[in-house]
Amino acid sequence: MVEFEYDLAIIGGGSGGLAAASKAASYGAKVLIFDYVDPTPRGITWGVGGTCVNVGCVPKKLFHRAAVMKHDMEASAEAYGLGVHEPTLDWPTLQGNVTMHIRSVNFGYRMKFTRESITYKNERAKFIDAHTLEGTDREGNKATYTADKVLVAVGCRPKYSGVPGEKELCITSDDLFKITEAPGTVLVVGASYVALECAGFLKELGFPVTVMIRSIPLRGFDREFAEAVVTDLEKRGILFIRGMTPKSYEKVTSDKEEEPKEQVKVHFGPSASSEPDAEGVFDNVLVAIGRTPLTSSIGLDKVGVTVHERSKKILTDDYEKTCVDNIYAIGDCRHGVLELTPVAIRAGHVVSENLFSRIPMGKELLKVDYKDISTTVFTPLEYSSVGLSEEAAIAKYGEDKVEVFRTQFTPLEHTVPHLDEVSTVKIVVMRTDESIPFEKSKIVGLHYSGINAGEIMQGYGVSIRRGITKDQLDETIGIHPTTAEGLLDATMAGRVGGSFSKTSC
Amino acid sequence: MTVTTIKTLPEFKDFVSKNPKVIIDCFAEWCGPCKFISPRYHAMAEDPANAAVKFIQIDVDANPSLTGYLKITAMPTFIAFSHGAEAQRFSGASAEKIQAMIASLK
Repeated sequence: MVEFEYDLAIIGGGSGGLAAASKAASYGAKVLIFDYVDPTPRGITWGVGGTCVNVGCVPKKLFHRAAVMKHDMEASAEAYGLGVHEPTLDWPTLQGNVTMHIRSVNFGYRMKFTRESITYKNERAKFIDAHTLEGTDREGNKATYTADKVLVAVGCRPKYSGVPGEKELCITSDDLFKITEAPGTVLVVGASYVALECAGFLKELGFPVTVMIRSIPLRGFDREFAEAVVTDLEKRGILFIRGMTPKSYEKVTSDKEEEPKEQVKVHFGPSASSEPDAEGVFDNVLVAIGRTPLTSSIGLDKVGVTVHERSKKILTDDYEKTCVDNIYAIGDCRHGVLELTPVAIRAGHVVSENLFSRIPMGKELLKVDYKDISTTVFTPLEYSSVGLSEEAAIAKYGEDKVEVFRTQFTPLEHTVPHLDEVSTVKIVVMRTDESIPFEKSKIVGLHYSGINAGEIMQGYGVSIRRGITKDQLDETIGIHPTTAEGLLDATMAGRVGGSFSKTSC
Repeated sequence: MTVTTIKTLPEFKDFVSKNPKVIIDCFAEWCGPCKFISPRYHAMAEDPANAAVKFIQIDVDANPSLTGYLKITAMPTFIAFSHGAEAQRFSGASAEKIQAMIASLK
């Protein structure tokens, strides 16, 4: 029997890798974890923890929080008798304090490795063979390691379109939370939730923002709510340029103010054309057109692990196993799953449980349930959902089996300051048989936009996953006064185009 | 005397072998209590009454092997070294405890 140095080697110290490492170590497995960050074109890099901790969920939510607070102060405080002079943003303070928190999390993970006896290597790892990995550190020194099982959890990085000047002059979400000077005027290129969330908090924090979208916003999300998010962003003063893409970028020096500053000129035009017919000048351009998996230079071809032709993500079975018996893949780099931290964490736990928890013979292995995962877009108008969009439900079950219930209302918090920011709910139900009234049918999709969307949806997500019906939702007694109870009151049936408004109580 | 910054493990080992009375402030840039106690620590270092003791500081993020060697898991941590060996340590931003540690070294 061959002796390997480690029971489990993990490539990638992000949400998935870290979860798998701790879970495996808790069962006594000898674990090795690699984490390495290739600097951005701007030279920006970060510590262990992956995208979520360093340049994703965590800083995003904190910047969004700052934006929401500023908006609350500007729009609501006075009506509540609170004197708040025009709040202004000091970018270095926000960026600095968020960074300090992130660094404490980086340190916390390193302490966790020590406490849990997990070997951590800040090295770029790649396969030599199915059980052998080569790690290269920042100085170029190489070392070899052997492991019984290998888990690939390398995640993704921002995608570039490849037009001239893009890498040299534009920034991505990898840079945005690390730059120490206020970004000034910003063009956001992209229609993803990354693009719209960044555009949203930048605008709310006081920066002029333009968003350029190739075709539709928030592809994959419910159309009605995606457009509502965009409409809200426009209402807050973001200019949308739709149906266009940048064709090239060039550096320009502005001559408008006393101090000349460097800016970026964008040549853009219709998405289908390769020629630009317009231009714009911005202090910064944030490219957020998608993310690409880091599967191309870790030696997957050497060991025969297959990737999906289009997505380039690793193909696995339902147990996260690749076509190579001892190699697994989870998280953003694994084909067919939502690119979300909790998805990666759950998969990491499940893989380690199955491998190391000594599940009794005959007991079924655990599988990650990728269905009905709640998610939230943290734009200024927050939008959360679980299950299917209206379009997806109709496509899947047919128009006659699907019905939609709606409501819209003003949260109590917005009444005193007379804000017209409303909460909107859409419940998508499906009936298997005509004899079942829609009011008693299974809920296949739940959508909410408004304040505290993430907090509200979490609880509902639990019950939707369990397959509750519309009447089971309706008979639940609400917590009052909250916005969350509003989801229990969606009584008006009607497809897209139906009216939302409900008379006040 | 000013506070000396120690950056590497060899540097640290060399310093405590050459200086019989050493007090160490292990801090992190992102640690609030560290920022609070730092001016007080520096003032104690400058105090001529404490001239017999050498004051050093270590940034835990700067050198993981040094941080690991000293087994630092919380910040700020203050350690007293007497004749090259660790005499005592505590964690927390307490000026009184630092004073007591200095007194025990003298």
